[in-house]
Amino acid sequence: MATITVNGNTINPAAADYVSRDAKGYDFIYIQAHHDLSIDEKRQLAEMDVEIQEYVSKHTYLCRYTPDDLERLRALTFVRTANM
Amino acid sequence: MIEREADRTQYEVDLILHTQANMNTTALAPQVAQRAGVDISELEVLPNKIRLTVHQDRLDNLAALDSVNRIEEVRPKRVYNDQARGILQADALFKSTGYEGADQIICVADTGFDQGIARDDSSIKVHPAFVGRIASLAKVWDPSDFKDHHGHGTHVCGSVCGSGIYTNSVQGKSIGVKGTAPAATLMVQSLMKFSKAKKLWKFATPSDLATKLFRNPYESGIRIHNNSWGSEWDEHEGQFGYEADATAIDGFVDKHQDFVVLIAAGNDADEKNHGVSQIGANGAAKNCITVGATGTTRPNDGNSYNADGPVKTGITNTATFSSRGPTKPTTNSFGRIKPDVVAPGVAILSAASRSVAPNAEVRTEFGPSHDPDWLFMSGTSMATPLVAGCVALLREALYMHGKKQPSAALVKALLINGAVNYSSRNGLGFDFEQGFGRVDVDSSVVMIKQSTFVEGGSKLEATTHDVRALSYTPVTNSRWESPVIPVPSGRSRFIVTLTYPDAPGALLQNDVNLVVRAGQVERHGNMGSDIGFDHISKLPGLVHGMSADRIADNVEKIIWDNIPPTNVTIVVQASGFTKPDSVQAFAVAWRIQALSGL
Repeated sequence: MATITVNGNTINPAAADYVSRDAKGYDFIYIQAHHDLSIDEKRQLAEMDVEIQEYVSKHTYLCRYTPDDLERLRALTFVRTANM
Repeated sequence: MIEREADRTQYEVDLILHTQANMNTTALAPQVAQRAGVDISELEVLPNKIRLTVHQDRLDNLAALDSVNRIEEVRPKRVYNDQARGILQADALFKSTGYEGADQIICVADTGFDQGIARDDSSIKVHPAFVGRIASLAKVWDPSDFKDHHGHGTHVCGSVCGSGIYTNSVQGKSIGVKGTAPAATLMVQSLMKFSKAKKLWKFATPSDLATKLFRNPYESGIRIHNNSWGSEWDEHEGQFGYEADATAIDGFVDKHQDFVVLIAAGNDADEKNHGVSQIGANGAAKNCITVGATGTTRPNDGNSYNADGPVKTGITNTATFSSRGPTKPTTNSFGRIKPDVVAPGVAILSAASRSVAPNAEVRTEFGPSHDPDWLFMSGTSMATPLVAGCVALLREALYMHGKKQPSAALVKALLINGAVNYSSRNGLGFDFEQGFGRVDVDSSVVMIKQSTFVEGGSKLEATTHDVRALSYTPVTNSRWESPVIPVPSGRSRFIVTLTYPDAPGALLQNDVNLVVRAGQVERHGNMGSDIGFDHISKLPGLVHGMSADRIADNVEKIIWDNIPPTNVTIVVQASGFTKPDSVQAFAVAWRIQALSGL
């Protein structure tokens, strides 16, 4: 889900409380961590096919992720949420 | 969702794609048209975004498209000069450095140039201040006659490299008036767009700055681009955030790291609902030089010449209209330090376009000049080209000292390290009205002559001034340390600036910190004498209703008075990269002043 900035209102999906079931058909996700990720944590994500694109919000990364399974990302201790 | 205007439901928006989206904009267009409920012919399809006018109820549907990163409203643009009564500007605000910008070409994107031709033809004589100064006139919109009926563009061009004689017919006095780089030449891009329906020319910027504004000058070999324009102030919106123009500017400079982009800060500090900070949209870009305005040496009341009165806005004062920073705060940051630098912008005397009618309002609106070839204007629009000319001088000096393809980061570091802030009350050497200070190109040139600068990660050359980029592969490459820098005995002030290009995004993508070590003692960039990094405890009275005091910026400066003179080194340390395999370029410039002389 993209952010929308119109009339000064930015709807930031990282702030929304919903949980996506999986990433089927979608290649871009937001991963919110408990802290700013270390280089090693980022490399760990890269090995799981997560390509970090941009730092978009506090501890939150926009990532390109082609597999469908979000649970394996959520299982990581440093990941707080992983959603589309 | 959209609360402001009850009677407005259609919005012109940009759909901006992810940088590695699965499909390109052409392939995506049919889906966009279908979800927006418009005909595909009504979409403007660009390399990395699609512009369209859409009903607000359709926005959620468009946002759900996987390839779309974000949707932003398209905002009207304007040029940044202001109403003011004129005064005689005797220039000489920039002392002679010996450089005049020879072999440098600056691109000015503005309201056009003079009578629309670069050289005299059989019937038209080009304004005499520009003999041999116009390299080319380049189209942005079609049709384009390049004529400057407005006056703004020619005035801006004159501040870069015009050179002529101004004769005040009432006082009978003649003086020479010069821009800051009188030996440089210009490419002028006319941003006047012809409206067939309204039968008039209107100022408009292209939807894609990268392909429609920057690419042509860059491919022509031009490395300096002046933009004395920005988004029109909207009293309901207040300060704009980091929006489409900022992304385009940062993206282009990140990919073309030797392209210097200058942006006027805006004149919105005294607009309705101005709030505390006004700089946003294009001025919020991380990789540009955002320029604010100071006053002048002559008596004035802040906007008008006042012969019998005091100097209200002096040469070290910030103009009352000059837009203030920081950039709009986010959940993670107070905002970034803007403007970057300031330069004179009150009642600047420069060339009058010969396409402006003899009785046009602009001739008297800014005070009578009593010479039809010259007129006065005020605004951050006027400060910006003065700095663009200074950039030309610095690039010329660098070339003469072996650095032939300097990065924009290096030019920015030299400019900022030579600048002096006169308004800061927090002892940090920067604030949010003058940024890092008023440009002093002489100080910047001294650093070039003394070779007190380095550039890290250049892909263009490998001179004695070049070192490797920062990276985490291996982790030992994540920091650069200078050799020991000799500091004279006695009391010294050590001044150093770090800048680096950052990937597009409202937040800083890569965090790099500047440290100066003198023996066992350290100072950190933008921190004064506080410990830690990237936060500020001595905020200059700014309140955004936030507890965040984090200022993470891709520009860091240290001014260390009475630095202990032994074992002084500069350290540039990567603190966190969004993409772990980033290769990060950077630039550092430093200088030492004897304190007893200050």
